[in-house]
Amino acid sequence: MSVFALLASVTLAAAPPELRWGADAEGGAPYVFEQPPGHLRGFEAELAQLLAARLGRAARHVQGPFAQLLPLLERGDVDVVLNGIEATDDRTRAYALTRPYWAGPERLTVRRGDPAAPATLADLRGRRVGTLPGTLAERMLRAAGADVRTYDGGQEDPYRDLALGRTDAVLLDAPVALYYGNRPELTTLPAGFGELRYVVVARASDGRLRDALDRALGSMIDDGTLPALLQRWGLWTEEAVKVLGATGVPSVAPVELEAWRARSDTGLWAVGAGPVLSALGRGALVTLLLSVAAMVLAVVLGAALALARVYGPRPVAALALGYVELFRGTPLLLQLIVVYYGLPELGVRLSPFVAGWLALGLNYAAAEAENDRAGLLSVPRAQMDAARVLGLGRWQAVRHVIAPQAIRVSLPPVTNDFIALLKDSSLVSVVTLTELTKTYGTLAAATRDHLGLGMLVGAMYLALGLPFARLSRWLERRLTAHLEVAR
Amino acid sequence: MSALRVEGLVRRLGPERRAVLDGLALRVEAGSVAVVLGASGSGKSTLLRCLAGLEGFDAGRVALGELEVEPSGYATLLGRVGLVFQSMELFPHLRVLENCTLAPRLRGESGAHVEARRWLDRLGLADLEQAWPQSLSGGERQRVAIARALSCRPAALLWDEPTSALDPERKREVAGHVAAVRAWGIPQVVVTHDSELSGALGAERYRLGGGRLEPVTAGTL
Repeated sequence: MSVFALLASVTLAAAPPELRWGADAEGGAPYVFEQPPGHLRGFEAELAQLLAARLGRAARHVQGPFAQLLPLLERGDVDVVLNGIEATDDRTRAYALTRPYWAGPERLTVRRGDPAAPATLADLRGRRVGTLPGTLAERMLRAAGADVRTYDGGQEDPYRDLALGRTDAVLLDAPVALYYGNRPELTTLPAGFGELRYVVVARASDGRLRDALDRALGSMIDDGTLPALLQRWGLWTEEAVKVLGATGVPSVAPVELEAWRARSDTGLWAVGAGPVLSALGRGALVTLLLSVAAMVLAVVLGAALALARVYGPRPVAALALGYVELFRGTPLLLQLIVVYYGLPELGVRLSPFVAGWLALGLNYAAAEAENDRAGLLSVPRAQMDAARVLGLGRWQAVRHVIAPQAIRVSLPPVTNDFIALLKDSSLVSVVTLTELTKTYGTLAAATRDHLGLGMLVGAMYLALGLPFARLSRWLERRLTAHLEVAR
Repeated sequence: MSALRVEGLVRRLGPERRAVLDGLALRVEAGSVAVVLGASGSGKSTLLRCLAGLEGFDAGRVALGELEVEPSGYATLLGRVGLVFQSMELFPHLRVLENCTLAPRLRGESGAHVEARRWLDRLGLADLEQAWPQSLSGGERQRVAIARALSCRPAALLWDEPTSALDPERKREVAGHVAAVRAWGIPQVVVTHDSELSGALGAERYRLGGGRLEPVTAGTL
């Protein structure tokens, strides 16, 4: 049903009172995360609600992978991005940035008791240091000559690798270090490096929205709402006092930080099986619907391409060959991004589901076309002659004589392709679809159980693919039944 | 029934447009058989493919009774001339009866089954109509191929090397099949290099050479 909600949301996207804000819930605490699964939390989730309320609009979260949040903004899928985006000169030129809602340093985390642990930026030269890609921390590390390791999977991974000894240090934004660097085997140095300012990002053409957000932020600083919010999450820093222009420390306890640390050792099932399973069920449904729909497209289009290649007039056959080479020879991920983020430049705006369906279907059609072509070529040419001599037209001969024989060769690889497609469908998270693997990432970030959840999700993929493998074996037996007679 | 007439048939092939058939003429009356002998590469299969409508020709004409076919309309021969392939080319995904009824059924002929069963019966295949082609012997397959061709009520029947795919003891049966079809009044052309068969048929014999047919007398064989 989430699929239909996604489809519907695109057609209704024009309704003005909503403030659609983009953020990646897989990133985790304290920004935006799901706890329990399906329930959005984090200081930015709260901030989005408060900002929207002051604008007289309803906040609606749009899930997107962190690296794609700004493209989503340009594409018009969201009105603002609110997800720990730093103010930089480049962004100031390309977007309308609000005043900061948080400011603070980068923090260096090292292994506790490591005698060679670096303590300054200068110490990092040549050392292996983990961080998140595209951040101020990454730029600082490169400038310092460190051997930089970046992680796409989430905020926990750099600290996990540091604890395992795969890196020597992690440099990341203070909130990340506060929430994920707090492991018994690690220690975060008290001195901070540099200064970060988080801002809300709107499209450059949306200066009025930016101005309205600035006024809302100003009023939230003046009436103490924002300082109290940050303090509850343990994020009230000296820099925040200075940059935000607020005064004093709000008299509230960092309850959210304490709650996070209190639950940091809890595993998957402490969250409750119900929410976990229903989130995974929704993800699996998206994966299954998308894969089946894409396979139907791939099989139909693939058959047409194969027929065009084998029996079509020369220009048509050449076009079909060009199609196959193009879609087989370029990465599926590239095709997905072009379909979703590139086509809007030509005025074609597809919903996430349609874009994912099209990209997967068009890509796999190339593979199916090759299967079907092999099948068509496996039928002796004289079979066509025999059919024609009996008076069958060319297409009648293909339909009634060639195709039924070709399918015995074409069908078995289709199952393999479907299972491959089922797995490749995990790539559609770049177009904001929350399918099974994305659900896993989000849940694993929230529950900190990568292993148990990973095995569960793996089993779900197997369970999704198995019925199709059996269906194909049954079909194969049926189609070749008459050939067994001869043996 | 009507005769098969071929006049001035020219077929050029290859980049040099060599005339494989060069003004070939042939006349086979209803109920008659013409045996065509010739070395391999002499153009025997080209002749059969032209007569069946599988290949066009550059000049001349092919006539089936009243129907006269010019080079531009060669494809009208498709479905009107039966051809028993050297390798039979039965449809492996269809049962024996379905092999025979497919084409008439697609043409929308009612009674396709009745006609097909009539030929299967005459060829002694009544018990095998539900069999798969792969389960049949070589001789049975050939009879199915004949029944399939005749179920389309062809104006002529062509045979391509009918003994080559058969066991020695089955080869003798072929002459009987040709004789049976002859009794049903259909003109036939049998392309073969099997001298035993050509002798057994007792028909007019021609040698294909230089793109034309020359009558063969007993002495010149």
